Amino acid sequence: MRCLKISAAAALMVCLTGPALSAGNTDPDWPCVQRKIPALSAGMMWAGPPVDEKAEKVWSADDELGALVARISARRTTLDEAATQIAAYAGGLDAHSKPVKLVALFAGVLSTINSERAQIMKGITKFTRKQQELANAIRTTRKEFTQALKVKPKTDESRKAVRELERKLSWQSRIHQDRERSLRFVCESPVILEQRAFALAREVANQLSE
Amino acid sequence: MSLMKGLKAGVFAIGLVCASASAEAYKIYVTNEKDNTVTVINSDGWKVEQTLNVGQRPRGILLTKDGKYLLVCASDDDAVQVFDVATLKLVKTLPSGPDPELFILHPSGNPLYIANEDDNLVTVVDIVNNKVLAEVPVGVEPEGMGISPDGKVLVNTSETTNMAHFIDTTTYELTANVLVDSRPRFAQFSYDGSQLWVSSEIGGNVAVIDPATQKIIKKITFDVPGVTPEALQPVGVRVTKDGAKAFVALGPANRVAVVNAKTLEVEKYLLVGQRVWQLGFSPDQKHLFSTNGVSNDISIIDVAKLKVIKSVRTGRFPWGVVATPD
Repeated sequence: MRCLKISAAAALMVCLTGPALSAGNTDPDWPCVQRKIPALSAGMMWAGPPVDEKAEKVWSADDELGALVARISARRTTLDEAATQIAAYAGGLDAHSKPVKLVALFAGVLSTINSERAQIMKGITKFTRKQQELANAIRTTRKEFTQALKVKPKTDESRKAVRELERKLSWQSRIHQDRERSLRFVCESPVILEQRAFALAREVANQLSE
Repeated sequence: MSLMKGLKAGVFAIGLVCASASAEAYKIYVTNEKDNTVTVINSDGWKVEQTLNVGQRPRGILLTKDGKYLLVCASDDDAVQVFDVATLKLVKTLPSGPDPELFILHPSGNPLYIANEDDNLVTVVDIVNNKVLAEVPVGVEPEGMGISPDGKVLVNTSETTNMAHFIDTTTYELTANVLVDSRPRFAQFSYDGSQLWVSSEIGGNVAVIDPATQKIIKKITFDVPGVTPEALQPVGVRVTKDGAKAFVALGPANRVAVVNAKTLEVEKYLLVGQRVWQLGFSPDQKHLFSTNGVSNDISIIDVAKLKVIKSVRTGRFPWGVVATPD
């Protein structure tokens, strides 16, 4: 019986704990401490020539540039390796095409990282909604469980039903808590991509000024 | 070791130092809030020389006037740690009150004025005798600390009360409160004492105040193309000794604004690192350093050319920066 009480108390705690909103964050579907920045803008990391539609077209139409964008945007490429590849590419450009191609390279990196980041943020929102659904389910199970205990189960069948509810409550609470623990790491992902976009922008800008 | 041998070893060591460092070389110290460390950078080649373990959540950092000791606010240890610059060993811990964040020394070198964020106090500490001299109640969440060049007026900003509190350093009494915009973070007097610069992080501006009349002369606002107004969050401010220029760190806008300190107009924005927080000059003021909390580096700005010349990697969440004086 003691075990039952402890589980119920744990479940209650889980239910009372909603998503921890950061200061100034009013979006209930955004559970991260980090401020929600829906998309990264060029202005946050770029002081070079304007990144416009023309720059977008240049990188989309150039296979070599497109492949470079894909390679350096991917997180498996280290930033040192990306810097080497950017420098090698810039080194092969003539003075006339260099500014156009390097602005297009940055446009490509920003666009690629932004779409990956958007997918991750969509995933975080989905994750939060699932957690909210699970919290609601825990609330319902807890109510049923408390109700069943009040009635004092007399038959084997009703005792079995109480044990079943207890198991369900414990299982739901465990899943909820495990997911909450992973939230910290999930929330780091958009920031890691923001850092990567900034670092790559800096490398491209360095080549542009050389 | 005999005295003679010791002397010889000393002379040899001096020879080595002279051979390896340029004449103007100095050191830059950066607190890393998340790593509980201080990164030590040598200006000769801008290389990281050492990473020093310090107390928990180090934020404010400064050097004593003689340049011999490094003072670090270990916010989560509720203490100010004192390190010997020559050995980088912890020599003592000063009483600081709870959650020290930023602090400033009296122009004479003593006492130290500390903002206690959690306790709505400014603690005054004698750094020689390790004694708390006074605790001055101020507004909610005190943070920014500025002191007039003559040492008579201490200014503290309180984040929640949105005020710059003027404190008489002899009586420890509040003599004036100036209402500024939302979440004031930093206060800095110009070297001649004619201006007081107070940054408001959420308000998105910097109030330049006449300390004599306690009236706001101008609120400087910022505008960076392609950056949303909410991202323009002024925090650290530094004014050059000649009173010509002021630099303002703009937080998540990743820019440092260059302001003409005579006309109070913004002249330029420099792209530095991500979430630029605090600023510090080199001893000769030829360079300015910005701590960039998200890109985990400092940017080095050439003050004459107004150009970012390099970034140097630090620990995680670099917060405060100070350079060894001449």
